Amino acid sequence: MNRWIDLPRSTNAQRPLRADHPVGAGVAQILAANCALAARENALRPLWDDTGSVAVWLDCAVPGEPATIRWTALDADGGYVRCLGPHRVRAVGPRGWPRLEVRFTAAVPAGYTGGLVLALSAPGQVPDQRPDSWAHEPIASTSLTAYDLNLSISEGLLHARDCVLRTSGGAILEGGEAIEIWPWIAAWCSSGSAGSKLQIYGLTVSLVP
Amino acid sequence: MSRLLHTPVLSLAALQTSRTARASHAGTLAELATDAASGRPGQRAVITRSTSADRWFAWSPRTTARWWEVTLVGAVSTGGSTGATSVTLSVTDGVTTVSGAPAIPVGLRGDESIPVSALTSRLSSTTVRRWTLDTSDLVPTLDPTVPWFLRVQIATTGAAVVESFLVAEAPRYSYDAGLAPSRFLPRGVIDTTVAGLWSVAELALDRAPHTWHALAVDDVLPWGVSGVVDYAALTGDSLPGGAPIQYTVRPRALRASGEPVRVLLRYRAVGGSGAVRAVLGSGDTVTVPLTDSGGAWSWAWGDGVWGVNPRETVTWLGKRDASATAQVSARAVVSW
Repeated sequence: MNRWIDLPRSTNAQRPLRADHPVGAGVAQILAANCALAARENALRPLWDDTGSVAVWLDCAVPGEPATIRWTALDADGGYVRCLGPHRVRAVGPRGWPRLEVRFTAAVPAGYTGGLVLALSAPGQVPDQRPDSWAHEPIASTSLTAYDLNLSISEGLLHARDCVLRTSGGAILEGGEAIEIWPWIAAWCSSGSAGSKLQIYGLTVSLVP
Repeated sequence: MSRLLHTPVLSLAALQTSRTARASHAGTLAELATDAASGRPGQRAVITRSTSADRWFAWSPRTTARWWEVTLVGAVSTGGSTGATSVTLSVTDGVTTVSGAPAIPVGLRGDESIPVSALTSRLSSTTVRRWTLDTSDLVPTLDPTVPWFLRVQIATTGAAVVESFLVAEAPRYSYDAGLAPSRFLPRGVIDTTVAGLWSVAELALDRAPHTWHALAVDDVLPWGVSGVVDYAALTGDSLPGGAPIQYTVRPRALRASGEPVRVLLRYRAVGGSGAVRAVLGSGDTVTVPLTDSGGAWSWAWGDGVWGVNPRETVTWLGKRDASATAQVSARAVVSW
């Protein structure tokens, strides 16, 4: 099923599963299909938006090599690096974990190249860019162009922590395991000079199927 | 009773006509409905890379989530340096504001100086602080039928930098709606608990709001509403050439008619009025009037629906009276 199937609302006198009425196979199947679909869709969401930067000119540590992007760069250095913080993820049905997707618009100055890196890190740490933990989208057009960058989330990129949910008085009411990812993004430009800047606009980072 | 956060797989074939109904079927449906309704909350407010901030975010209180998880990632601007940061979080429904105990935890009242340092590179030892906030302490004070607004104030000293500050809803680990597995044991009595399955499933549709788009700047650095004759991109939110920046969203693929949303703006207008349009891709264009607020910051909103394409976009356009000054410092599209 790929759409929610409407039945009379729970406030309606003709609602399914009302008292003294048999539970038909059809109602049970619709209920199961709706809940499975909603579980999947509710796990997919945007995580972060940004207007972007018009002042990216810092090259990678090894020029043009995104595996060596400078995660510690500040905006004042000509960098564009953002730690998006920890975000919970849930499996999306039996097919596994969602993907991370970045959509943006960018242009590179004439004669240069650039790119955007999306990476997952350990909690509170800079991405180590081990294999499969990052993805790169080259930016080669000198006119504004729409790009999308995807990164599959695998088990090894997930981080579990204990979650304890307390009242303000300190009583523990609920708790369990929280599964998180720590996404980072960074842009680079081969110009290495503030006189020639990459422009990047309208970034959105989302969990998608 | 806490539950594991998992999504059971239930074969529709098990629920076919003429197959034997089992207690486990209802129990699995209950687990699935509970997980869909409250196991995957989707609201958030994020500030990245900041040494000073005073920003506002819109929030829907029409949610199954009870707790917010708040995370601060602190660092320094250069290796070998030190500094400290403090955070103040308050929540308002536009009439009443909550900024203290018991709802707002210690450390989020601007009452704590959180040290950060790094010996080698500036991110070699980030500071991660977490809090949880029980919104049941907010509900008695704030109106849960209208939007809430979060104000986040960040201050730093020395070389401190806040790499990220995140407020996000936590999933429920409980069976709040009474759908605990113990109610669906073999040879147990079939009672009215079964009826609750449908209403909990509806919560997964109606009360699992997502923050589809949220951007905020400090009130002192707002986006300007510059269009006078025609709607135009907000200043500071446009591409070279003047077109508005486009933000991509993947709405939930649930309803055939598109996801209902509320478009919210923090704005001020003086000397006249204006309006801001949120163009929701192939869905609605939501026009939010900006009435003359006399220069005071205020909130305004309008409702619409997303389109049903796999990816939709949102762009923002504004227009004002020639005599007016109008500015926007926060904008959001949230489920409603």
